[in-house]
Amino acid sequence: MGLLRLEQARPGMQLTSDVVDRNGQLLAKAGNELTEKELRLFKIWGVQGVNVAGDDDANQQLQNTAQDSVIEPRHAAAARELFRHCDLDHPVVALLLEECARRIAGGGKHAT
Amino acid sequence: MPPSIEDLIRKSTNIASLPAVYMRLVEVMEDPYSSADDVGAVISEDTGLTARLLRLVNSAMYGFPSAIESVKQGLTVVGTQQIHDLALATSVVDMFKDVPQELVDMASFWRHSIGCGVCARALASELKAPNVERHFVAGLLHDIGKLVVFMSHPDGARAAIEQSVDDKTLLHEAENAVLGYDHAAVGQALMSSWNLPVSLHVPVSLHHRPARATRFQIEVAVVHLADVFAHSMLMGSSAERWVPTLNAFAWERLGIPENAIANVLADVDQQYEAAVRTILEDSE
Repeated sequence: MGLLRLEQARPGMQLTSDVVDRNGQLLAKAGNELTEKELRLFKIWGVQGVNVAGDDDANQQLQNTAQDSVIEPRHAAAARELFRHCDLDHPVVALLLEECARRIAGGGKHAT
Repeated sequence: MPPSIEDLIRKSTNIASLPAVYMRLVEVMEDPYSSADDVGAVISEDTGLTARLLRLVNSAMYGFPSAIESVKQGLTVVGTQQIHDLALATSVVDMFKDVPQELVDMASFWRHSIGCGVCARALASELKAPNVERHFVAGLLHDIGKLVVFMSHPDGARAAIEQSVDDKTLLHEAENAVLGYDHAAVGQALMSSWNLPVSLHVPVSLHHRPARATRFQIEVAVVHLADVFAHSMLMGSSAERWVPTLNAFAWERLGIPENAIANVLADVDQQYEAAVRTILEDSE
């Protein structure tokens, strides 16, 4: 598995690479299990993400819990229609399409 | 035969140059012998600009514990560049009050524009680019050419919008078919008649064709992507129905990792409503 955003990292996850701050100062070594205190420290030092071990499913589940609205097929279809001029195979487009569908599902946040 | 771009700009005399308060402000800022007091005096003459400056410095973005109540105090908080950009944004929003409402809802148009500006600033921050406010202004003004067409040639604008809806094409393609030029070209011509720096017109003129940029490639790519982001995030509407085509080259030029996109979206959500309030509140 790979890079998690700091907000998604939880105590007990195992680091697969060293965590350093912007100046290259070592904050935690690869192989360590994350602690609550370390996560706070990373936040203070501006660390954006950490590499942790684990399977993709667990990661996916974590990301899904962060989303509040259920995306129904009609929301996804409406979003795909808006993206008709974009290459849906491009990874950034795929991410933005999902974000768009989520907003449509959420009642069109900012849609005024 | 549709009117030329020059005709469009000449036709609406009140948009051919920026308002006097903005011009005086630039003059004072460029004068090495002027002080912050001189800048304050120019701002205080304009009630709209004063109100917006105070709202900006009292917004959550600065997070001062006590209220800032005077222009003089406010000027100690924000930099000259930001005052300049705020004055430009204010002037431009006020200038286009008379656009026919049947073609575009102006509040919605500015929400899209401000959304694009905020996305541009967030992308530039992710790149750790210097002077991120510059990118905000380029994003804010990227569709300004549409307003010129709406005001000076409403029939042509309507024909282009109808064609884009009927044929399900992007508006700038329909504009090229109907008018022979698109809003990006009109926007560039307007900004050059305003004597704005070239680093601002190039991103506006190439925001649908970022791969053509030979200079200011980062600025161009930022505005291009910010437009795609603002559409994806359903922020307002600028008479364009579809999300513009994302240019893979522009994304690669920025080199932002994909897992940083969530950060960018979160930053935008945090800043968007405050930016809308700062700029739009008095004009709606």
